[in-house]
Amino acid sequence: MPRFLAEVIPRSSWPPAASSFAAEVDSLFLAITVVVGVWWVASELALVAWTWAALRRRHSAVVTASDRRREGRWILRLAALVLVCDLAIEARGHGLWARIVAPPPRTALPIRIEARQFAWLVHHPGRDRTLGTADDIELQNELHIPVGEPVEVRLTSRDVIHSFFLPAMRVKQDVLPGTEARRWFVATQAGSFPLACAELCGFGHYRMAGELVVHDPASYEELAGERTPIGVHREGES
Amino acid sequence: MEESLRHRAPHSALGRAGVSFAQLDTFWRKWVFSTDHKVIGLQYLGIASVMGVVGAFAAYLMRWQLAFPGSSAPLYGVLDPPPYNAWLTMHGTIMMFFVAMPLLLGAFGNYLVPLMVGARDMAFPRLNMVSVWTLGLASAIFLASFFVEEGPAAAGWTNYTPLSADPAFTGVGVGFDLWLVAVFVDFAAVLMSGINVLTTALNLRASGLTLMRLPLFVWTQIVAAVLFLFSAGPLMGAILMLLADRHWGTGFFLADRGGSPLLWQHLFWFFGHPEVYVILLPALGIFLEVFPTFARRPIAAYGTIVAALWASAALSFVVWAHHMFVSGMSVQLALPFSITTIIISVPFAIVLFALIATLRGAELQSATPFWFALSAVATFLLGGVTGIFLGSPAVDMYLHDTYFVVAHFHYTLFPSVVLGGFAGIYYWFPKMTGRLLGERLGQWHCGLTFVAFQFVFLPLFVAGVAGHMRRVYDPSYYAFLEPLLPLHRVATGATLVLLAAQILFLVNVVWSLWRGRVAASNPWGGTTLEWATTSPPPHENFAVAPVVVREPYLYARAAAGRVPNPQWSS
Ligand code: HEM
Ligand SMILES: [Cu+2]
Ligand SMILES: [Cu+2]
Repeated sequence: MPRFLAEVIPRSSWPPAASSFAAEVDSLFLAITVVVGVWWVASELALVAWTWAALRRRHSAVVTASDRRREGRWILRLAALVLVCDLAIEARGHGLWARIVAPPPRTALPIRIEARQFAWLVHHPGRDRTLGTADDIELQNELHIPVGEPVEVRLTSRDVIHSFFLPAMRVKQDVLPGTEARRWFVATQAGSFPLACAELCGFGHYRMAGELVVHDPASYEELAGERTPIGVHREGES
Repeated sequence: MEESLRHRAPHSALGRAGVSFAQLDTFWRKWVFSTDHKVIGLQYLGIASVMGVVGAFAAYLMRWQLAFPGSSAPLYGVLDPPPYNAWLTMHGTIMMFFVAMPLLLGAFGNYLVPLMVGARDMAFPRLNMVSVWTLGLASAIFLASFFVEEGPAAAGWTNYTPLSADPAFTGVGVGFDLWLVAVFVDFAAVLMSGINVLTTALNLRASGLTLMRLPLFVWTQIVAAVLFLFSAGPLMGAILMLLADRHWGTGFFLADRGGSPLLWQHLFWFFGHPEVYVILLPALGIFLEVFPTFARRPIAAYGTIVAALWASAALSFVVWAHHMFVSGMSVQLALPFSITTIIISVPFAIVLFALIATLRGAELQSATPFWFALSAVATFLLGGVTGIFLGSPAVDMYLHDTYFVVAHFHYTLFPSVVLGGFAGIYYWFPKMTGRLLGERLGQWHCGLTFVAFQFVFLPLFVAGVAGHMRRVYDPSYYAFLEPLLPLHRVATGATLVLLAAQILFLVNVVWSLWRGRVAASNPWGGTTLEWATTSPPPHENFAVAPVVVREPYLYARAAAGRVPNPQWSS
């Protein structure tokens, strides 16, 4: 049984929590799971237990008006408890959201990304850490960032709405034509992670895939030092 | 249940051989150009069933492709990416606008509201006929889009701009126009029928039927009609604006013409969230009728439920931006919308707790309508609690547009529309046709549908938590999604079982119409007015106008178990 489960629910292949707030998002998810899980299990149990009991009951007394008044009071009490749980979840989640959407530190490394049907055009700042200079590096479907440093992506779209999704970073941001959306995060783990489009953007939506490469500081310096775009240039695959 | 069998055989013009001109004329009058709310209710049921088959076929095609990417689907062939998006769009749109609304508002609302309030017909019978014909027209326009040059619309049921605004983005032109026109006409039909239901429920109530004695199903229809009246306008306006953008050079939704792509999302979801409740509330209304009847006891907390229905309706207008936490709207706005979203769980908790409490101290009569309603409530609970995750912006940032969302809304919509729809059909079939559906087949149908459904969508919660984006034609394109393929296979296998189980229902209907047990006027022991008249009810419903003397759902103690203490004086 456990082996069957491991095969069907391959936990190990799930996106790792690789950004500064990813673990917090996961623990908020777990906290909500616990709270609503208790309510859910209790409700299902009550449903099944009372159905079971009612199936075998015969010739019992009818339910009177005072029974119903008592039930009504209990329902309101439970609803108040639901409200308390709701507000607790809200309170717990709010601080995290505020930190995620707070303005980035001034040192954040800017990266410009233009989405189009069906590719990501990623404009890296190069060694001088500023966009729009000669050492910038443009790559398609590849996003290179250093580990442990705040990075700010500035997203625009050339055509329709796309959604910039880095599962391992727990980051998602819709990309609209005509406006620049910004999102920042700190990767905490070097490695290669998926970049996906999460918003239906046309027939090629399913293959608007890219790669996020998180470098340790040394290899990032090396990469940024090269003048010509490195890596596989996946032009024409879209 | 052992009531005198004052029944009439179902009158069917179809059954007779050798049709004369006069008979043909009566057939037209009776079944096609009828102003009788009961016939119109059945016409809605017919439209919803036909569209439901198309919607289910679309679901089957998508599920096949997701489990066996690129292979040939039986009855169709290989599904390419453009048709995948088109079938996806058709499935969502059909299920929401051409199955859920026609079934829960059109069919049940029309058939039952006049009966339950003790009226002879709807307040405006001709308008009622116009509504159903308008819906027929909308369905025809919608289905026609399958046959136009570049195929039907393909931007999802949410039809986001600018993807839907310019043929260059999808390769689909006319299909989008037909989608827009069909949805507009569909809404016009639902608006007309909403006005009718509202007026009927408020103005044509039988003597003694005060508002606080109304069956809860009628309350849910009233609230749903009000919700639709207030929410449809913005989207109908948005549809006209989008048509203008597409053809007359305006730029409401186009950034390069100075417009805002986000505006469509605001207008769509301002309508869209109340719309979800327009579907959900009548389904709750069905459970609220079925539970007390088979539990042989009053519903717990009637007044509180009515208040909760209105509270959820009011709140549903201030939650729409929870669909847009990562859309690029102001991130500060997320806080108020997150609070309203999470708080809207309270009125629904009240209704669900009341349903559960109604089983306490019950004396249960086991029958298919009850089992469907129970399965629906059991399923809906999970759909409800998973919404809390999506109301929390930080978690939603990860789960938005993943299969978690797909599983969540199917866990709310499927119990409402399909399980709730079947609960209603099994419950009122005897009233509608004068025959009872078979119990054995019915319980098998219920059990298989319920269990199979869990295997379709439970795995998809897991896929969503693993980061699986929705609306992707071929998940195997992403290495990180490949390990999730077994989940897709389970879901698809269960879908095939689920669809096959519906054959039991078809057999049951055909058999019962032909050979089924004849239904008495009140076969289940209900307490509301539809059970006061014959099955099926005569033209104009009641031989004598009923007089209501008490609240619904009361039962008295008797030697052989509890007996109904109906609303009407007999
Ligand atoms: C047998 C039952 C059903 C199955 C197997 C099924 C399957 C699916 C699948 C595979 C998708 C597309 C997922 C994706 O590619 O993102 C989908 C989307 C959807 N389904 Fe269902 N579905 C079923 C019943 C229903 C019902 C009863 C409703 C509503 C009343 C419904 C409403 C929707 C909606 C609104 C969408 C979203 C479409 C979109 O993304 O534009 N489905 N369903
Ligand atoms: Cu996309
Ligand atoms: Cu919503």
